[in-house]
Amino acid sequence: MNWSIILGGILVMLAVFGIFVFILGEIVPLFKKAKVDLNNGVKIESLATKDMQANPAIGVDEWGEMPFIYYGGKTIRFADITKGNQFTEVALPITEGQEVTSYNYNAVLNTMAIAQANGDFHILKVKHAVDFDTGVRRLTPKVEKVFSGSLGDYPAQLMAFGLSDKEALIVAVMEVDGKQNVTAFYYKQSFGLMGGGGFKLKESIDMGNDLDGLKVSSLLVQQNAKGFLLGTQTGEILAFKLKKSKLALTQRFYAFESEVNNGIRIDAVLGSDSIVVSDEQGKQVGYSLYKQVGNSDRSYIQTKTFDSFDHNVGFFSPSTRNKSFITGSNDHVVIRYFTTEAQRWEAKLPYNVVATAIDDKAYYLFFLSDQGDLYRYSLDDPHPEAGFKAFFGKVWYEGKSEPVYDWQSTGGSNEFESKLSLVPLFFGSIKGTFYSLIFAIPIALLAAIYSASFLDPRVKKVVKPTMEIMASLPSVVLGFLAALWLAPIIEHKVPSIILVIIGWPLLSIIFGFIWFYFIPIQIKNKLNGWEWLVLVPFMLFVAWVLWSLGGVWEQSAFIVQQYNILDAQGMVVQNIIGRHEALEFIKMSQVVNPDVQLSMVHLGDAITTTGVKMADFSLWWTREMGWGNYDQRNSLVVGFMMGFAVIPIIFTISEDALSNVPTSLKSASAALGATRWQTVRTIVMPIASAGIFSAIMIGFGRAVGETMIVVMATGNTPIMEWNIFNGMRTLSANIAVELPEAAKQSTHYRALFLGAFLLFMLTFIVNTIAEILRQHLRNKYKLV
Amino acid sequence: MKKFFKKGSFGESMVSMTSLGLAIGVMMTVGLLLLILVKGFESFWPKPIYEITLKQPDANVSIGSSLFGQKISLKENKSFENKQTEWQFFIGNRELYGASFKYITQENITHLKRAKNTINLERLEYGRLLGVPLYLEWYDGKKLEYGSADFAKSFKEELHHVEGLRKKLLQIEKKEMGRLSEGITNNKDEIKRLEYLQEKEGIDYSLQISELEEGIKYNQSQFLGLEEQTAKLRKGQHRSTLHYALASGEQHKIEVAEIIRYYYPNQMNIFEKIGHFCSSFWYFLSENPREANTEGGVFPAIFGTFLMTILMSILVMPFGVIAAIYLREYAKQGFLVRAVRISVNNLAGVPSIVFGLFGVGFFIYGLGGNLDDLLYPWRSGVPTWGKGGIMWAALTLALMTLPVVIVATEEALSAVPRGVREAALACGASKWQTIQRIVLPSAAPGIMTGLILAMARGAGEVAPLMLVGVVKFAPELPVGTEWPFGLNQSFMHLGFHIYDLGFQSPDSEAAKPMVFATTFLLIMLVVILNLFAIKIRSHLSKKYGSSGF
Repeated sequence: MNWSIILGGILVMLAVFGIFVFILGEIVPLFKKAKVDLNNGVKIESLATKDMQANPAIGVDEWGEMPFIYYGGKTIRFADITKGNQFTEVALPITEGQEVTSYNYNAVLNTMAIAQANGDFHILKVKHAVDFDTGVRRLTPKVEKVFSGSLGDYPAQLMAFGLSDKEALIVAVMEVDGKQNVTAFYYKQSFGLMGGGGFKLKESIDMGNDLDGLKVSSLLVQQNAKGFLLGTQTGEILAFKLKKSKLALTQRFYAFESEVNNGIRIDAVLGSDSIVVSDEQGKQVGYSLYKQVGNSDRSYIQTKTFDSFDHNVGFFSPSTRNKSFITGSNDHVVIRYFTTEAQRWEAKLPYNVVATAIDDKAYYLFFLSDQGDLYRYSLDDPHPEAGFKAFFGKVWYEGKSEPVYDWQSTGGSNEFESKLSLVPLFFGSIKGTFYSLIFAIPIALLAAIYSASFLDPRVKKVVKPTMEIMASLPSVVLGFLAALWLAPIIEHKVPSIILVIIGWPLLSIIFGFIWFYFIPIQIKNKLNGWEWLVLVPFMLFVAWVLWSLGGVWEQSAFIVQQYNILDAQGMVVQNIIGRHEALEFIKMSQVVNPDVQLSMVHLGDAITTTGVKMADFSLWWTREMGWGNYDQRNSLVVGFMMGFAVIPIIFTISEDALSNVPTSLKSASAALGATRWQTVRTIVMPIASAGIFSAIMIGFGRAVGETMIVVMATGNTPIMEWNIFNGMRTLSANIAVELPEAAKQSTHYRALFLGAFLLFMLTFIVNTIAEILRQHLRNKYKLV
Repeated sequence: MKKFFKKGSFGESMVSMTSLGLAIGVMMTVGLLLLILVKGFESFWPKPIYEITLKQPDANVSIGSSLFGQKISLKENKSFENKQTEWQFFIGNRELYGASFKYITQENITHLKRAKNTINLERLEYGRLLGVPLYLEWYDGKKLEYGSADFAKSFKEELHHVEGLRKKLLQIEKKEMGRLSEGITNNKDEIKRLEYLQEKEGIDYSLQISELEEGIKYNQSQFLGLEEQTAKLRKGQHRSTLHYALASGEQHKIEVAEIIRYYYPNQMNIFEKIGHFCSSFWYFLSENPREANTEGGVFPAIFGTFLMTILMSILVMPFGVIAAIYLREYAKQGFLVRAVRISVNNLAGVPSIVFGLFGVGFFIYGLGGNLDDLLYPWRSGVPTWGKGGIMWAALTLALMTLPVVIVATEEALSAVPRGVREAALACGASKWQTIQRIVLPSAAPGIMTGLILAMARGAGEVAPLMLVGVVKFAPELPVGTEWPFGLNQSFMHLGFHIYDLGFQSPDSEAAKPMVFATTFLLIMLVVILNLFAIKIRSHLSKKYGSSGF
């Protein structure tokens, strides 16, 4: 029996630690780099013949089984990884007898564009038809034409394309009479009743005017056919945007500070918002589209800087799954993740690489060597978007105007850039805890002092269990009451609440003063420990008075007015409620349209009131003063309701600490003539201070981890503002809200575990400190 | 000012301030409990129905210029133009009015009076109905006016008849048809298993498979027979209709088969009201939820909460006690044990949601997923254990409440006087005998306290349960007669019911009374458990003296 008890006991202990180990085990993969198994590669010898051009296009099916290569002939050559060096040549549906002058393969779209000497071009889809006829998966390579057209009479030197369901943009660089010419062809899919009716040329635009004799070295069309980029010999980039079937030059910039001589490479990562620019020395930077304040057009800005290579960047291939890409120079290859600038993997290969590819599932990497051999290695990188920087650093995401901390784990498309910063969630946890503690600590400590030192023991017997009942109130009940009962009440009573919060302590001090001076000693002695009998009704009365006064105060102090916005002629342009909003309107209209002749010299002069006004705190706070949002479910509500969860914990533990101060000390103090307050202040409180501190720590731990109250009583938006009148999203609420939609073992799932780990560690550390303090305190009492 | 500090009046002021702190704390608790009590009470108490006459006729033709309503709340509404006082009324008749609740400004009400004959009808669909009954009409043409002597009796009879049929239907649908469809599912599963084995082991099971398929066909034919029977019963329900009038005078009718319960709030005296209160409360406790949980009862949620708590107690009790005995009686007291004790104490402070996440990762995906692969490899992709269920929920909560039990047991063990143990040992008892016969019995009340506290915590916890098996609606109770006895089924829980009703209900106004009633129930459960624990503890501390903190 002894042994079974010991075994059982040890097992339980192990289970307890097992939780910690398990959670740790779930988050460790997040911080692992990509793994590429270089030792067990598959080699397909001489897939490319010796006469291949400088830039062969290679691609692969979604299972990584049937890679193909194209280098400007009439066929595409497919290889079957399972069969070794047997190749299948698939003829291309292109114009016969014409040489191919330029081609471009887009791995994300699985589509190739081919331009021929007579000016014809073809958009071809490379397909791997799947059948399971024999019970095993079998792939049959196929090339299908999407549509064809003509680029004019000249052969294209360079061409690129973007393609969506509705439109296509093909851009070609041609030499016309010894001069470079860039022409864009805009195609639109005509939709009939029976679906797509094929692409029709809508517009062909000669971009020669904008070029101005610049020499184009690279070309990139946005995947969604919304615009394109030209890179020149000197390293300048010209961005064109398609707007209502018109192409406009929207931006000209140099990607690198120093000038380049031999042109730059522009490549796109998944999606149409980010590009990677590399120069001939091996430098590599990332640019993303972003929106400037007050400007509706998006423009490129440098958001990333990657490590430099020693030589020219020779190849680039984006993942079709996420924002990572393979690039490198000669035998040096790396996998990088755009969003976090992280180097996921790096290696020196025993051969020089000419081209790369990655399958749709991101299970395999393909490298084509300069000898024409193709190598396949398995890639293991389940969490490319993770990493220390992604979770805790400021990251400049696509479309943002600056680097930010942001949490937005899921999006609508697979081009979505997941934002996984835990900082706003951590901030939310701390914010909620802060507001609940500044409410709970004073009440709990005052209550504990009164209960331990002054309260009649008979009353204490009832009061203490009452407070313990408070601790047992289910948090779902508190959250529900907070959101559906308290929040609507508080919304219109903020001034009253402010008055009560300030008024109660002040008036209770005045009450004590009156009690001391004006109440005869006989009554006082009789009521020793029963003061609350008089105080509570008095305070309820005071609360009622203050609550009503709040309305009066609101009527006089928190007034929102309606303002007229005047133009320079003094004519009313618009009516706006709230001074802050009016000023913002003027500022915005000046930025958007500087011609608007609003009287801007003195902002104040531009607006006059209409005389319409109303007293309302929340409107006053947001529109008149502009101090932030006012949400119905806000930190004030959370702070108050979380009080129910935290007060009893702090109360019980600190009350125990205070009551355990030896009576001999208190008696000695009283015998020396100290009043009861002096005894408490100078003897009891210092001795119990460690216990009180540990009580606060444990209360902190409870507040940090509280879930249901926060889920229900806040808007759960991951914002980082201290404003008491808006909400937050805490780590714990985040888990409760998002876990049901997180796929097992995904980055999102593990990121939630990381959040849980943070919570676990936070409470564990805080509780351990509290526990050690408590033990210390216990030992101290032994001495007394 | 000097005097103020010198003579100690400052100290007195501080004392009065500390008493304020305690007063606030107590008032918060008592206030909250009272609020829930009152609101919970309100949701069962019959409220009078008013006939509201409007100044401006409503755009809805059915409302026109008057309607019936039960007062819900009064609130002040501010806007930039003016200030208004608005009444919120429960007006029912959702299919006619478009919503069950309506805000009417004080100004717009010209007249408000109690209409004596109004009825509050609970229906199978569209929530409740408020109106004045006119007459009952049978399909054979018989009519009975409201107000005639037989009306109340006939109406009751009709309802009784319908209810009897409804029960019969339920019996057939749930029991017999349920059994048949279960048989079909089992057979299908068995077929899949055999096919899997056939492929794996190469044995020919086609005979058994065709037998099972026969069984399925037989069950299906039986099923059709039962369906005919239910169709007949359904038809039999449609015997009579009740015609009623709205306040605007518009007349409508409703099949008696659609009616569940009714009452005339304006004709009730206090005793009838109490009677109605009790019957509504019982109805609430014993019925299944209806209409997206906004009507009906919460029986499955009560049952789920109860069963989950019991399972959790069964799991946590032995482990907690064994661990505590080990820590207190067997382990060598030293740094390691102290560290373990601190860790166990700390585990009590780890947020519950972390346990929930652990439950998902370890129990559901880890254990459950592996169990599925091991036991039911042929059910590819359809999880049996690898999904939320009552067993995993109980395990998760058991882990969460383990420290509560360990700490309480340890304290109870340490409170057993040394003398008693030594006496037992001196009598020649072995260590285990001493623990078993002497120490544990005298520590039993303390251990009970720990268990009750753990139960209260487990019953009130929602956050981890949301992740490991609680669902918004599961009329199937998580029990069964065959393995796995329903232990892998998801279940309903009172706490989650509150969350779901309050936050995910399509009509949150209509759900409010239900939420308060459920809250009331949950609070009662938790508070009573806690009071028990406190009672036992105070009894103990009287017996053994304070054990410190």
